[in-house]
Amino acid sequence: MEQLLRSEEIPEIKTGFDGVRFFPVRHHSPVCSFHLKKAIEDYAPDGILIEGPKNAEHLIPTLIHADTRPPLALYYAYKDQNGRIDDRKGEYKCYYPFLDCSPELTALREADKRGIMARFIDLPYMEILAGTAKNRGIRREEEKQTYNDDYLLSRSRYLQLLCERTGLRDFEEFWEKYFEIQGLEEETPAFVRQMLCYCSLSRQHTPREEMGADGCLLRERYMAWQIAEASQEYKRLLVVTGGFHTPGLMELLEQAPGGGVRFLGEPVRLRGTDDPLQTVYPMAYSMEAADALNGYASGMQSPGFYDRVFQRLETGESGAVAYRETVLHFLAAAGRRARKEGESLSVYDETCAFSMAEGLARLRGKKAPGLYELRDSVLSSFVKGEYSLSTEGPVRILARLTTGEQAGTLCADAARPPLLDDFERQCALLGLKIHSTAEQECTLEIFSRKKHLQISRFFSRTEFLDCGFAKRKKGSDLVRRRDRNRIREIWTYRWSAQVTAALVDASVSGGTVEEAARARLWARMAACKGCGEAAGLLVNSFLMGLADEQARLGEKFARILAEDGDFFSLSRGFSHLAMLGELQDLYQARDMLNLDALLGDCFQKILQLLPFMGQVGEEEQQACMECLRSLYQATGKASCSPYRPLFREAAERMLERKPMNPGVEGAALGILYGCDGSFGERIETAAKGYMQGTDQMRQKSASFLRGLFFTAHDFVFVSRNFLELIDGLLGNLSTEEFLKLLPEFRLAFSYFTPMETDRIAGRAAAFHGKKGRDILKGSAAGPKEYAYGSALDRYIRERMEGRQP
Amino acid sequence: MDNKLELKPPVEVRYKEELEALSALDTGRRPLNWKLSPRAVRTFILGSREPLEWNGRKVEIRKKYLGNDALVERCIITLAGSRGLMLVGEPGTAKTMLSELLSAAISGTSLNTIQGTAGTTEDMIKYSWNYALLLAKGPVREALVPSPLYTGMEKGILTRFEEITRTPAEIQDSLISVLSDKVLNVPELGDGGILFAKPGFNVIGTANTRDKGVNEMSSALKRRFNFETVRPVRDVSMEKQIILNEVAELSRENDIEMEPDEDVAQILASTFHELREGVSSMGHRIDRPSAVMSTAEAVSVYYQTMLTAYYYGDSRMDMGCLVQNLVGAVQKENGDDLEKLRGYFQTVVRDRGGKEGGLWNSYYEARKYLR
Repeated sequence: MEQLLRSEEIPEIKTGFDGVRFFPVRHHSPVCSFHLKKAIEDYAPDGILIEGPKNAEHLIPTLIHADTRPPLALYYAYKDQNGRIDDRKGEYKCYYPFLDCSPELTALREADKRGIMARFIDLPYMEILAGTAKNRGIRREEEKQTYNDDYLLSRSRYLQLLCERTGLRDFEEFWEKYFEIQGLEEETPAFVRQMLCYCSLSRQHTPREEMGADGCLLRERYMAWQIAEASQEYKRLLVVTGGFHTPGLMELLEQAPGGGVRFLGEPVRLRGTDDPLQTVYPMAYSMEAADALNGYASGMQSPGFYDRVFQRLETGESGAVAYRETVLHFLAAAGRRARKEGESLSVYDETCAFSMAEGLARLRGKKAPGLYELRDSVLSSFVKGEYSLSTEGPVRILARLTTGEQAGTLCADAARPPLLDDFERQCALLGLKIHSTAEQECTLEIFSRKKHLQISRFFSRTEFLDCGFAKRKKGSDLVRRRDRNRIREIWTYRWSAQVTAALVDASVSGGTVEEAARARLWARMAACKGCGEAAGLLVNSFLMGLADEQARLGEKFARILAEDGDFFSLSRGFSHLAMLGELQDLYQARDMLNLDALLGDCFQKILQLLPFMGQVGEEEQQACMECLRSLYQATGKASCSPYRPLFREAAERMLERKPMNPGVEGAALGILYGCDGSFGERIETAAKGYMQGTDQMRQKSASFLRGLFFTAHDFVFVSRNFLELIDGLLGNLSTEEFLKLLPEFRLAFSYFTPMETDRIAGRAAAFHGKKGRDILKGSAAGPKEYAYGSALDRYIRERMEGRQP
Repeated sequence: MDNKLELKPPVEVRYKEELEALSALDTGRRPLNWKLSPRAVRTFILGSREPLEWNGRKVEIRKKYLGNDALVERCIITLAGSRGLMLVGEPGTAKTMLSELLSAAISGTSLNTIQGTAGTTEDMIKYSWNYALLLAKGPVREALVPSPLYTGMEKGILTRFEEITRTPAEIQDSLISVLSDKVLNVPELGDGGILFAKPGFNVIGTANTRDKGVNEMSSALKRRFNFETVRPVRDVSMEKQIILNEVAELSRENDIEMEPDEDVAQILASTFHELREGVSSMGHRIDRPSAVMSTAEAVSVYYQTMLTAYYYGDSRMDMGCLVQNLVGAVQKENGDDLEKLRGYFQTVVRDRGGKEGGLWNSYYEARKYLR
C-alpha cells in the first residue's frame, strides 16, 4: 500500500500547525476511534473541534449522557417556508448517526472525561442546504438523507485504480484491508499520516467544481474560520473531521505568529442562523437504519460487525485478536441462528468456515480475517448445493447479524420535539395507554360518543403520519371503500421506540400531531397527480377531522380535477366524493367542499370519456369493470340520482363502438340491465354472438360472462335460456379450449354465493337429465391417483414459491 | 512430450514454464505435498501484473480464469482444508478448466480424473482388479488396479471427479467415508489393505446444474464438500476477452495462422450476453432461448467460423457463416429458440446496425440464414 501510494505524486504531508492538530476520520470506523483515543491521550488537547452542524451543539450533553446508548442519531429538519433554499419551499431533513465506534462520539466522550471543551464546527443545517446545489450533496433527492459524506472518499478515479491494482473488489474491501485491519498495527502518527495521504490523493482526483456543488468548499471555509477563532482561545486544539476535508481545511489556514492559526479564505456570510424553522433533535436509532444509510456511502457497511470489533478493542485486545474473535463470534452466531431457522448446519461446518476465513486472510495478505473473509467463509462452508434463493439462507442470516439488531436508547432528559410532547399529551387526554409496550385494543362507537370520535380522529392522524402507532382492525375503511356499513371501529395500538423515532422524523412538519397531519395533507395534495388520489386525501381529511381545511382543499381539488383526463382516476374520485356526501350527513358535518358542484364537474368529465372505454386492453379490463360498477352504485344513491340517466346514455354510446373488450361489454350490459330490465334480450343476443360465434369469439365468451356476472349475476336466474346457452357453449368446447378458458370461467362464477352456485348446478344438471346432487357423486380416486395428484400439487406449490430451482 | 501430438495437451504441459518459474520463485508456505504455496497457486490462475524473472528470462503469468477472483481464492483454501471442493454451475462456465488449473498447480497433474457417467460403478471410483494377476497371484497389491481416487490418496494429490452428478446417487455416496475418514479399506488385501490418504489428497468435483443438478446428491455427501457456484461471465468486455484468448490458443495449437478479429468477437460476446440476460444494451427486452448460451459455446461458434474462413475462404470472418454457426448453437433443445433468435435480430441487431452501421449491418443482413 505504501508503495502504491508512493507511486503517485504525493503532496507534502502535514498533520497540523503549532497548537492545532488535525485528525482525519471515516465515520463509524473502529480503527479511527481507536487511534483517536490514543491521539487524545498523547496530545492532551485543551479543546476538541468536531465536524458536525453547529446548531446541534446544545445536544452534546445528551449524546454523552451515561444513560444514552447508541445507536442514536441527530435529526436535523428545516422547513423552507420563506424560500431561502429555493422556490419550492420544501421540507428538508437529514440524520447524523452515532454508533459506539463512531470517532465523533469517541471524541465527545473523551473530551467529557477530561473536562475539556468540545464543539461542533460545521455550518448550521440550513446554511449547508443553502450552500449546496440542487440534487447534490446533502440535497440529493433520496428518501433518506445523511449528513455524513464518506462518499467523497470512495468515488475518486484514483480509488478505482487502487482497487484494480491491489486485486480487491471494492472500496470497502480496500479500506478494511489497509486501514481497519492493518491500521491497528500502526503507531498513531503513522496511521494519521497514511489517512491524510490517502485523503489528499482522493481529493486531488476530485474536480473542484464537484466539491463546490456538493457544498464542501463552503463548509470548509466556515470550519476553517471556526478553527482559527477557537485557536485564539485554546492553546492545544484537536480538529476531528471527515478525512476528505482535512487537507482542504489545512489549505485555508496558516500558522499565526503568536501560536494558533489564521484564516486565509473569505469568511462565510450566514443567511440566518437563528432561523426558528430549523430544528434538531436527538433520536434513538437502530443498526439497521444506520446500515441502510450505507447505500448513500455514509459510514461503514455492516455496522454490527465493526461495532463488535470496537468493543473487543476496548477490552485491550490486539487488532488481529479482536478481528479473529469477532469473525468467530459471527460464525457461531450465524450457525446457531441458521439451525434455529431450520438449516442443517453442524458445528463442524462452523469449524471449517473459521479455518476458511483464516486461510483466506493469509492468502490475501491480511493480518486477520475481516468482514469479507467472514462472508466468503459462510458462502463456501454454510451454503450446501448451488447458490440460489433456496440455499442462500445462511448468507442472509449473516447479513442480518453483521448489520446488527440492537436499537439505541436516549437518556430521560433528552430534548424532544414538541410534536412528541403533544402526542403524549393527547394520549393522556384521550386515556390511551402508552406506558406499556403491549398491544392495546379499543372499540370506538364513533357515532354515539364524542370522545370516541376524537380518538378515532387522533388515530387516523397518527396513521396518516405513518408512525406505526395505531391500526384499524375493524370498522369501515372509507379510503379503500370497504365495510362501509359498520358503525363501530376497533383499533389496536402499541407504543414503541419506533413510534418515537417516526414522530421525531415527522416533526419537520409541525409541532402538534394535528399541525403535522395538516402539513402532510397539504404536501401530499400538492404532489398529487390525479383526481382519484386527491379525493382519497379529501376522505382522509374527513377522517382526521380537519373539517376547516375542506374549503381550501375543495378549491385545490377543483384545480386537480380540471387537469385530470384519466377515466380511472376520475371515476375513483367520483365514488369518493359521492361517499363523502353521504358521510357528511351521517357525521353531521357541514358541507364546506361544495360537493355538489365538484360531483357535477367530475361526472361531466367521466361522461365524456366513458364511450371510449370499451376499447381498453386486457390489463385494464378489471379496473374498467370496477369503475363502471362503482359509478352505477354511486348514481344509485339519492344524492347522485340525477346523474343516472346521463350515465345510462353514455354507457349505451359506449356499446355502440365496436369492437369492444368482452369483459367491459358484459359489465356495461349488466349495468344497463340494472337500469332497465328490458335489456335482457340484448344481453342474450350479445352472449349468443360470443358463444355461438367463430372460434375467436368463443375464446372471449368467458371474459364476457365474467364482466356480466360482475355487474348483474342475477340475470342467470331471471333469464330462462341463458343457462342453456352457457351449457351449450361448454358442450361445444374442446378439452383444450376449455382448459384455456377455465381460469376466466372460475373468476366469472366466483361472483355467485355458494347457494346460488348450487342452484345453477341443479339447473344445469337438469339439462342432462340429472339432479344437482348427482354432480357431487363421482368415482373415488384410487390411492395411487391420489398420491400422484398430491405429489404434483406439492411440486407445483414448491415451484411457485421458489423453493425449488 | 511433444505438444503437437495431442489434440489438447493437459494444463501442466501447456503452462509448464509458468509452473516451473512459480515453483522456483515460490517462497510461501506450502501445505504438505503441494507443489506450490496457496499464493503461488492464486498467481498461476489469476495472473501476475509483472512478469517473473526466472533463469534469465521473463516469464509472463497470464490470467487464465477470468471472472470471480474471490471464488478462486475460496477454492484454493478449501482444497488446503479437510473438505472436498464442488464446483457447480451452468454448462460452459469454465468449471472444468478451473478444476484442471487447480489440480495442475497444486498437484502437478490434472490427469488424475474420474469421468462421471450414468454407468460409473463403485469399483471405478475405488479400485478394481487385474483378473489375470488376481488368479495367478491371489489378492496382492500388484493385482489391484487403482482408481484415480486410490491414486490420489496414495500419492497425496488431488483427484478430479468430473460430472459427479451424472453418476447414480448411491455410487456417489461411496465417496462419503473416504472424504471424512481419509481411509480406504481393501478387505481383500487383509491387514495391509488399509490405505491412509497422504497429505495433499483432496477431491474436486464438478457438476452442471442444467441436466441433473446437485439436488439429488445425498445431504451426507453434500456436507463433505464446500460448494462454489460458478456463474456465467457478467461483463461483455470480459466475455469478448475470453473468446479472443481461447480462440488464439486453439488456433495456435492447430497451426492456424489467422489473427482473431476483435470486432467480430465483440458482436458475438454482445449477442451471447444479451440473449443470456434477456435485455440488450439498448434496453430491448428479449425472449431468452432455453439453450445454454455459455461463453464456451460462443468460443466454439467463433472458432468454427474461423476454420471455415481459413480453409474455404479468404481468411476473413464471414458474417453469414457466423450466423449459421450461431443457429447451430442456439437451436439445440427447443424449436422456439430459433424464433427467439430471429426476434433478437429483428429488434436489437437491426437497431444496432442502424446506430453503429459497419459490421453490425452485415450481421443484420446475414439474418437470412436464420432458418
